[in-house]
Amino acid sequence: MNIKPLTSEFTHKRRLKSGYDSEHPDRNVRNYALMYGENNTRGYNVNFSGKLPNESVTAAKTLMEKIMDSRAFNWLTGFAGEHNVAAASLIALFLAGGLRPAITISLPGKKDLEDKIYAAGHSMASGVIGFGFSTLITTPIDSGIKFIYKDAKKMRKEDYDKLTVKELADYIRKNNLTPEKIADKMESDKLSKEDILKQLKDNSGNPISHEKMAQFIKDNKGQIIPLKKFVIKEIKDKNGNVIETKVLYPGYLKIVADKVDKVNELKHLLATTTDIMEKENLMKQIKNLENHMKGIDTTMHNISEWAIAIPRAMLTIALIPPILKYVFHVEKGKSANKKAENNTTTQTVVDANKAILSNSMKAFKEFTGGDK
Amino acid sequence: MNISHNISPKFNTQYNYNLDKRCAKPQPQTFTGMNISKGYDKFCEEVGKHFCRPIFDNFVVNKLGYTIRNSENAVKHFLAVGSVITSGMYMHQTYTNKKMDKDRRATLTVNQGFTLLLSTLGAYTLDGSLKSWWKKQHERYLRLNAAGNSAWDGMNEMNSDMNKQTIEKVAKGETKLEMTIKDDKALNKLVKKFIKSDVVLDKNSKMGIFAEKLADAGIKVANPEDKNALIQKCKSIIATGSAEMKEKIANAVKTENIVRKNFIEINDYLDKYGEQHVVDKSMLKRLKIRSKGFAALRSILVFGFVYRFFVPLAVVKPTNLLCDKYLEYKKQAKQKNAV
Repeated sequence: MNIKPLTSEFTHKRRLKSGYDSEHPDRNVRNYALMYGENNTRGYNVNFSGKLPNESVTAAKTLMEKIMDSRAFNWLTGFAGEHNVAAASLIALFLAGGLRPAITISLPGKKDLEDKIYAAGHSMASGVIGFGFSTLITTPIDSGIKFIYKDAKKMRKEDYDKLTVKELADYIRKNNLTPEKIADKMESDKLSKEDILKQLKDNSGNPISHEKMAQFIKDNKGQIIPLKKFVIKEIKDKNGNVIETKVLYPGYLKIVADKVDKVNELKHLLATTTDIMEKENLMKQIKNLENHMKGIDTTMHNISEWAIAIPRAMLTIALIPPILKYVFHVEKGKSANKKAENNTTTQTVVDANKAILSNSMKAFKEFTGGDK
Repeated sequence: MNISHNISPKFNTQYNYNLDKRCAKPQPQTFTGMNISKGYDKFCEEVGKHFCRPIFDNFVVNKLGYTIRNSENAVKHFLAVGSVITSGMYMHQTYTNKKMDKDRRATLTVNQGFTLLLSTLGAYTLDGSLKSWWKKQHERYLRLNAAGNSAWDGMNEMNSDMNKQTIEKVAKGETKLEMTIKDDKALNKLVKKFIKSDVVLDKNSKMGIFAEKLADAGIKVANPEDKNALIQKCKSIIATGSAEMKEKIANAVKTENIVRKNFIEINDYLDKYGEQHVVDKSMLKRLKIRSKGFAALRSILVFGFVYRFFVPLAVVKPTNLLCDKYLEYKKQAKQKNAV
């Protein structure tokens, strides 16, 4: 009779080995779930690898795809997407801080060893300083830029609520918004477009006054789309008379804000025009403006590279001596003497060892290489 | 007899362990870690408010953005200019270094300038030659992900629609072919460029969109994937063919030029229509950033490799040798003059 100890059967590996699963498929939790149509993510699930289920596509992968799918590579692409300058310096840290010094020193040629060590120290210093300095300075700037865009979106709604009826009416007057236009732009859950149109016109079909329109929009909490993005500010002279009403974008940078406004305007025009040539022209203009905004974004993320270039280089030069001293144990100027001393001492030790070996242990003599 | 086989799965330790884990309450996050990340966020906010907004809100950034607006990968220009600034500083320092003698200073400075020029040229050429290969890898990378896969298909669909519409519009005469091609040489160059960087939008057809246009004009080769043969055929037609065929090729090139200009790139597509393919907002955000990062990584890798690794290793020794030889030559010349 073969009685197995109970516990040994119930570890995962032993269960597989013992054939328990194949003999009793319904007693395995996962198989049970599969067989009887239960949700198979219940309990222990081999198929769930920790990733979000619809994120991975299962297929035979080549080596390249395995690398691309790895966690490290995904981190690298994410990092490069968010912080261009820091990613460039990270690559430089790997290449100039690690690989280049190693190759420089391991290259053949004993004569210019000092030069080589100096070159290695320089490349190491530039790699380390480049990475540290760039990351320290550019990462908060990148996040700050992100915050500007976030802020622009966040402040839109708040500022919309702050708008008074008068300001809203001013905007409607200034932009010559007809009831049709407002009905097009207004986002409301309760009212349909026709209802809005009806409310904005009086019995004879003429549009109601601007103030009433503004009141209506405010009452229904409708938002006219471009209004989300700015507040109107009145500029007054000494007597308190309004000289002009100005549209201010609190969130966006000024150089971006006027482009956002223009894109919205052009998009509205695009929806209303029917002429094909005109449409193409408008589309070109919109694309140009959008590309310009993208260019500004790229510039903001990368221009810090230029600003930090000179201080970084100066810091690198300053850091070469300590790196040479603590990493390679070489000090410039003293190195020649030191090397000579070292050579003589090591030589004597080696000679002494050889003498001992040759005298006392003759068997080891055959194993000492490089002596011929 | 195996006693253990009669045990119900309810007593399976693995099962119970997982059950317990599910029942356990989630542990609160560590206090210090949260504080640090919160503090960092606050710090970044302040940086954005008080530093980024006033600093970047000026005409220089505006103008720079305008200059690079049509650049396919603008990061590399910034990297190149950054290197020029750094090297310029090193050059200046070498030239004003009083410890060195005058001749050596000058030659070293020239040496550094020459290295800079060479590496910049090398980096740009390597970057350009990797372009189409990298784009294929970009597709491969995004297709590993279900959302990215469907987004790429959506982009292809949109581009192929645009391609068809452009062809129709040109045929109807709604879109004018404004491009001017100077002579046969320029035409040959454009044909070569378009064939080499041809884009396959339809999964089923192996032909690129430019090859399709050529096929419509009656120019075909036996193997649709043999690009060199197609280039040669076009070249021979342009050199010795009839004027009618030549014009057909020119028209195909002009149409293709419009199509290429209106192509929507994957990053723009994700920005505009990404929500159609990914419902989860955070996942879409991650996908966008990774896709952008992959596109930028080409230039970052190439420029890093050339500037910081290849050129310093490969060029320093030969240039040093040249420098020494020049110094020797100058010494000899001096001696001759003295005699």
